[in-house]
Amino acid sequence: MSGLFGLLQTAKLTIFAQEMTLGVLNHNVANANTPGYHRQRVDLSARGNIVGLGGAIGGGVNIDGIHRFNDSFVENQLGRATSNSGEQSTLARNFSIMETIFGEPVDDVMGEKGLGDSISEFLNAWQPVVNPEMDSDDADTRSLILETARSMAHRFNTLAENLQDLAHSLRGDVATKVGEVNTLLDEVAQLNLQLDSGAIDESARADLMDSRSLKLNRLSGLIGAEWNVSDQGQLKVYAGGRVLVDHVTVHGIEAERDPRDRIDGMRLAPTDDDFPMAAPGGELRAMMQMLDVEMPEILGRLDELASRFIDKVNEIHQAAEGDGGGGVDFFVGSDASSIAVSGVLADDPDLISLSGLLPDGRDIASAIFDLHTESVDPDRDLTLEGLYAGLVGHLGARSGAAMQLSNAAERLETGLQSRLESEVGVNVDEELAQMMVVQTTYQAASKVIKAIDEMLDILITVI
Amino acid sequence: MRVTQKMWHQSLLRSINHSYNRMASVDMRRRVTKPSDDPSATEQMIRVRTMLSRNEQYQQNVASASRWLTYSETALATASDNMREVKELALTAADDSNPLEGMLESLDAILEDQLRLANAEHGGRYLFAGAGGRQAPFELSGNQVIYRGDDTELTTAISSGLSLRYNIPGNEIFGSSEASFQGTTDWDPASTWDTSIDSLLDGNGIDMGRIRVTDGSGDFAVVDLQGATTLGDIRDRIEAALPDLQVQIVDGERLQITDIADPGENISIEDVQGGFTAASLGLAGNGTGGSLLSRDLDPILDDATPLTDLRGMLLPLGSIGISVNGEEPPTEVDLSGAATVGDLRSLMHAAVPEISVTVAGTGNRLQIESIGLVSVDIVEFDGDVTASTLGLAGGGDPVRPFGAIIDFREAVANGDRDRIRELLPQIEKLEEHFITARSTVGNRLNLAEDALANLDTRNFNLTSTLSELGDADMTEALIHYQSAESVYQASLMMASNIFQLSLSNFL
Repeated sequence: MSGLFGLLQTAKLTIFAQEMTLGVLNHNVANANTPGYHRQRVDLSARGNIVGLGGAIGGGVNIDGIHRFNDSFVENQLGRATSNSGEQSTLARNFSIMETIFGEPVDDVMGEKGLGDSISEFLNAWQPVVNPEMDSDDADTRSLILETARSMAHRFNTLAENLQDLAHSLRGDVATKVGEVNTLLDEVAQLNLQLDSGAIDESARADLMDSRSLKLNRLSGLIGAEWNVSDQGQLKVYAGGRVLVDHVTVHGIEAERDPRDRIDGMRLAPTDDDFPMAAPGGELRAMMQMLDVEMPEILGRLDELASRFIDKVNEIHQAAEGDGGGGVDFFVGSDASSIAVSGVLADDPDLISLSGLLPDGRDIASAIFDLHTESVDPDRDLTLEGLYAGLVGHLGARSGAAMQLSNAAERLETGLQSRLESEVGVNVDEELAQMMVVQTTYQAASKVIKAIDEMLDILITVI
Repeated sequence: MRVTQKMWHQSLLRSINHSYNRMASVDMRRRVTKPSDDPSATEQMIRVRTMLSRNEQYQQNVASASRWLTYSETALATASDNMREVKELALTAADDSNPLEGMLESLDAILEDQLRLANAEHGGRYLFAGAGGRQAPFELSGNQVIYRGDDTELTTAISSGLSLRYNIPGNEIFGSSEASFQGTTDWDPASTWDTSIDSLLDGNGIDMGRIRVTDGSGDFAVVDLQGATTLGDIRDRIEAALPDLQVQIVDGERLQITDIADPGENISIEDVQGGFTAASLGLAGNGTGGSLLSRDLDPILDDATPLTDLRGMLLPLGSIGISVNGEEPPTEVDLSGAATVGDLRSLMHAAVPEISVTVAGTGNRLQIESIGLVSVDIVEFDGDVTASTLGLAGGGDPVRPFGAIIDFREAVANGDRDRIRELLPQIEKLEEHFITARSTVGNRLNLAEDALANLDTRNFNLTSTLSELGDADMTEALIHYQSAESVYQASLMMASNIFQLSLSNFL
């Protein structure tokens, strides 16, 4: 069809195309701040020829479809970066909690005291016996010794308890995160199912893809999941050597408590086969590492300190002869959680040896005081206080390293996010400029229609 | 690169957050607030704090010992004045031309005051009671004063490995009804391979720890001396660890370690961390010329010590005379058959059962004690120097200030001027005795004050170390804060400007 009516048709197509473009611009502006939104464009192309009297002319504009901007390379990289950053920041956060638990270095001005101070106080508590101005009597000295011993044991207990509490809440977190992972897996499979359906249009498809990208990225952050899309458009999500989503089929995972010696861990396994799996990255990996390696190390060192302390003091107190006391254990328990002043002594403080002599000739006050400097570990030549300082130093070094890694991972993640945003994000000004172009084209097309209308008028009037 | 509003937005938020965090985390007081701020500094801070706590305990001990010594010194000063007064009274009374009236009252007052001083208390404990401290040590019973304390020496730790003796047992100063005295010659027992480690350094003993020994060829070994009980053990362990070395006793008083394989090459010994063994033996250091010499080991003697091991004694021995309560003639004791220190003791005790002979606290001489005797004298027979050799010649007047005052009072009451003149030398000696005791306490007080000054310096050093490790440099912190603050303000300003910019304002 040619002639004026043909031209009218072309102008109408122009109007349609501009309206559609405006609609997509509107959608872009509306979603400028929607997380995971990828900007869209209307793809236009010139329409084939219309054959007229004088030859063929162009037939106007064709709407080819809606294009969703995408950068799968950066998105895959971002997935890995998110996984790493989730892992490192979780490690750093938990180390920082452990630092708070130990409270070192203590703030003198605020009158704070650490375990090291409690140990010193206990080792000093016998000194009134060799101090000339013992204006307090023996009962007072005994009660001072008991009090410092209790407060030190209590500090050991509290530290161990706080670490166990942290482990407990970590285990709770693991369960929660595993639940979140399962929900995300279901949602991804659901989205795949919707995308498969032929009934949806391109715009809706683009929005579904956005939603899926977002969830996949969250999965990376949680468990270090990776994915690929086959040529047929089939999406597979992997983690720890297992397929978690096979396009529309979900293989969920579950977590259960794994009883251990001192700090119980968590055991991850797919619901299908129940073979334990590791979390390859993300927050879950960090939590498992805390439970499996880092916390047992810290608590283990604390336990070692407590048990050496118990052994040394008991050895001295057992050996002390004279003045009615001695010959019994001072502390009971075997680790930081169980260390306590022996009930026998607490009931009858007179059993505390105050000035008993050891076989090597030292009095008990000096022997206890000498624990300040005495090596308790023949292999490493460490004093009790050295063991404690080493523990805190280790914690600080691990925590510092985790913090640095976490910062670096976060920088990489934000860098990649910017890069992706630069490709797929919406620039409102750009959309506005585009809108002006659309507006002008729309005006022009309207003018063309008006001109054709006037020309038709003239034609009709003449006839 | 395309930049979207969201990117602006996010990068602004990040920079606002970052600078706010930096601003908030600036601590004006503390540089290290958690271990990860500086792990090694945190570790050091914990160590320094325990050193500080130990040091503070030493300070308390020394301060407390000084106060104790100060009170003792004051009491002894007055006691010494009292004794001078007694002497002046005795001098007056010794002169027949002076009347004795009023002297009894003065002596009663002095006796009472002296008793009060001997029972002086500080902080609820008796200064001169030995270990007990809770029971008044001196009691006037009838015509004599009885000592109820003991002769324990009390010490307190005043720094690593050092202790301060802060008391003088009352019987050493104020005496008791016992007449006792010590020999005057240091018998200087020789060190032998069988000498026990505990008997070294005047019986103080040496803590056996680990030492690191390097021989002339540069080989070294850590020798664990823990559990060694005799000098022979030390020799065996060192020679077993480094066969090139030979350990000998020279002059019966020192250990000498020589490298026999590489004569003339330097050998060295040092303590393994925290030990004092080599230092106490006087062996720590480098020995030039291939050998190292220890300090004089000064062991104490015991009953089994052969007289031939006593370097301060001239053998053979002859006889001595023992006279109790001034008896004439003295009882003769033949000591020529004695082979050991124990023999000397039993021979003397067997001849005069009223006395007991023990090894003195210093461990290098004998002490003669008696109960209920006024005096014990040891005299020499013509041409026999045995008593001098033993350092016991002339004996000693017993330290019995109360006894002397009581005797003097009795003589005054009886108007017995001869007896007064007889007592005069004893009383004059007693004045000396108090002055000596007072200066002993004074010396210890000086020692305590020096120790306290050292501890204060150490305390100051440790505190400054702690501060250097953990405290913030205020200026630096302030600059950090201000730079963070200006970045924060700039971010906020940028945010308020950027969000106004939009193409829509111009359409």
